[in-house]
Amino acid sequence: MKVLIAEDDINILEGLQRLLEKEGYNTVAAANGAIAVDKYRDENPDFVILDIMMPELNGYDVCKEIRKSDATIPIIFLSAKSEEIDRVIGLELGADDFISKPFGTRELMARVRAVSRRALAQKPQNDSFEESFTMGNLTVRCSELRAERGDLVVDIGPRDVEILRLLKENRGKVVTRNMLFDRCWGEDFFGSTRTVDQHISQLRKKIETNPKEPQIIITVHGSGYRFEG
Amino acid sequence: MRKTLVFSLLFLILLPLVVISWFSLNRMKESGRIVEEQYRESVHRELQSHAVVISGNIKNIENELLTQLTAAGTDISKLQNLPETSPLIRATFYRNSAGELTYPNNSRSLSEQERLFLNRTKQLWEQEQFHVQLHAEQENTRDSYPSKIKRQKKVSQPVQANWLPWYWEEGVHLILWFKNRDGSVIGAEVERVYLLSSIIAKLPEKSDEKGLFVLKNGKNELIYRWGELPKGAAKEALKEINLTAPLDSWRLSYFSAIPLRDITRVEKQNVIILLITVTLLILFIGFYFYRETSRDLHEATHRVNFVNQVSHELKTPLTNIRLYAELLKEGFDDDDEEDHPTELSIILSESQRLSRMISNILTFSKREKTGITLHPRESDLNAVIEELMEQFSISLKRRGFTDIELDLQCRGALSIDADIVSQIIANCISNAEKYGHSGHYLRIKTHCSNGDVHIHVTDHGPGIPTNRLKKIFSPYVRLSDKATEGVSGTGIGLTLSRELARLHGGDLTVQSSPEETTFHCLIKEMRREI
Repeated sequence: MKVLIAEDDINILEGLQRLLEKEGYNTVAAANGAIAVDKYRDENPDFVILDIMMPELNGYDVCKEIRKSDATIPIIFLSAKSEEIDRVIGLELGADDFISKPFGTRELMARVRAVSRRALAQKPQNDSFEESFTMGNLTVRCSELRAERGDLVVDIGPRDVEILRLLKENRGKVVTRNMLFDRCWGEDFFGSTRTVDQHISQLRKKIETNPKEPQIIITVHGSGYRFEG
Repeated sequence: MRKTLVFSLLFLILLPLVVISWFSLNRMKESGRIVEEQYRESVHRELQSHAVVISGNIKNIENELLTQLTAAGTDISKLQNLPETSPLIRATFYRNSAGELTYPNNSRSLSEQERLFLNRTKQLWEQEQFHVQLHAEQENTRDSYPSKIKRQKKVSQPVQANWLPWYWEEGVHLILWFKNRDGSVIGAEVERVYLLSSIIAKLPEKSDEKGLFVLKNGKNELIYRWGELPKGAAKEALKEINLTAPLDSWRLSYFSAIPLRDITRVEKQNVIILLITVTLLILFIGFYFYRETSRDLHEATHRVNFVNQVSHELKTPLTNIRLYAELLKEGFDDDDEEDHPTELSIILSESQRLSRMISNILTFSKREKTGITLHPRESDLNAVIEELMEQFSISLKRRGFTDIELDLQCRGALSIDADIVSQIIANCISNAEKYGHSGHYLRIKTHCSNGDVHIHVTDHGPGIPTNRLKKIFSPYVRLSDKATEGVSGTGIGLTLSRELARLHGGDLTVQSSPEETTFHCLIKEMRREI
């Protein structure tokens, strides 16, 4: 999924990019409102994160511009302005959510996932796209970005879905880190194996009954990971 | 607020203005009436004074006539000579005791003057008017002349003297007559020219008043006038009086050169000037008060806006601190949190503390400016509390809290404003962290029943003195003693928490002993926002 992030503070912008890309999102950055409108038209993102106070064009005006051509694309406002009127204006303009700064990353990601589910639901899918699949007693619902085990329901990111899908497709086989990089991070990504390991560690915490004794994502030392089934 | 202030000021200004205006108008009317009355009274006195002068003049003529007539007595030849010797007398007459006009009499040869006298008085003798008048005068004037006549010791005075006016051709004529003891009557006709000239001589030539005095006879014929009347002045007399007998048919009138309304104008102008002055004074006071109050309001608004602006500006760097601290934290292997550098945890913890502080300040200022609105949604209270405990975990650990207990009995989603509830509980935990750390113990317990959500935050610190329990909820108050001296804080946390709890339909109370302090927060589930 591609997300457009419009934020004039470069540190917050880069931090958000890192956070979302870690989750498996592709990000498009805009440092002001005018660039945001241009990038929206050029990049056709799946959803948008907008700061309100930006130079050139503020977040409200960017939202209005986007809504002229797309009434359904999910939009999240991200702002230090947290007065009730600011929220009301934002929501009245058609935003799907309003997150106040400073925010917790978990809170942010939870809301991003919620918005992503809506975006996925609207997106036309390929015929080969699986709505869900199971891995042992775990059910992965792709469009909802959720994994279920019995009563337990956890939110997962698009990259998590891709990782699990890859492991499922290669059931019983070792999936190397490079395979994971290519499939889930993109061929252009140059990162260390620690990136994969950290992500797998995070994913285990979400889906494994006991992350220290994983049943679904099993480590194959020196090689990669494997799903036994 | 501004509207209320404006309406209050308008009321405070308009009410006294209306009252003062009403009183002023009444006073103006009353003053005008009084001035008018006084002016009329003054004119009346002026007229009266002139009438007295005329009356005095008549009396002088009367006394002189009586003196001359009594000196002549019944001597016809003397009576006959009086018109020639006395400028007062035009003609004389004598009636005998039988009522017969003895002099002048047609049986004798008459002079032209005598003949004219008889002609003028013909009707008097023929129509018995004189006799009737004689009788009536005797009755009516009994008290008026006798005393004066008696005083004239040198001349033998008759009992009564009377005037008899009648009209003939050119105007009123006067006869003075008296009756002798034997019943005979002696009388004299006053020389009319002398009468008029003597009266006019006594009257002013010009008037000090800005107006016109007019003396007219009974036929409304002008006798004399003095003073001036400009063009366009009123043609009606302001005041009129009748002279006394024997000229009681004569009328003395005053015509004012200045319209009556102009006379009262000065007084009205004075009242209007006073009213305008008071109005301006009240308006000035009102304006001054409004300006000062507005300035205070403005400054208060600026202060609030400044607080909001500062808080807003703090949020951006705070966002970065928290965002990157969490990114760094997630970069470590989470299997063992104790491997995370303490510094990182501290950065995160302090950024969260700063965030809570800013939130408190903003909420506190908002409640003064616009009020706080609840946004209840289906929320997981346990998740809220667990999130808070994670935020506080580092600071609690560093404060020495070794025994942290969570007894969360509320299950499922509750219709609450999670942000508000989080703020309430955070302030209670913060209070325990600051002041209760010596007990090394913290417990958060929740239980729900029938829409009531009870949250208890307990520490085993030194407790709060009983006489200070209420004060801790007052804004800006921070109890100071050895245990609390030097502890950081703004003094608004508990104030805010109580107000927020009450906003949420409940309350925040405290029970404290030297071994244990428990903050009990009660909130009520609210109808969910649609």
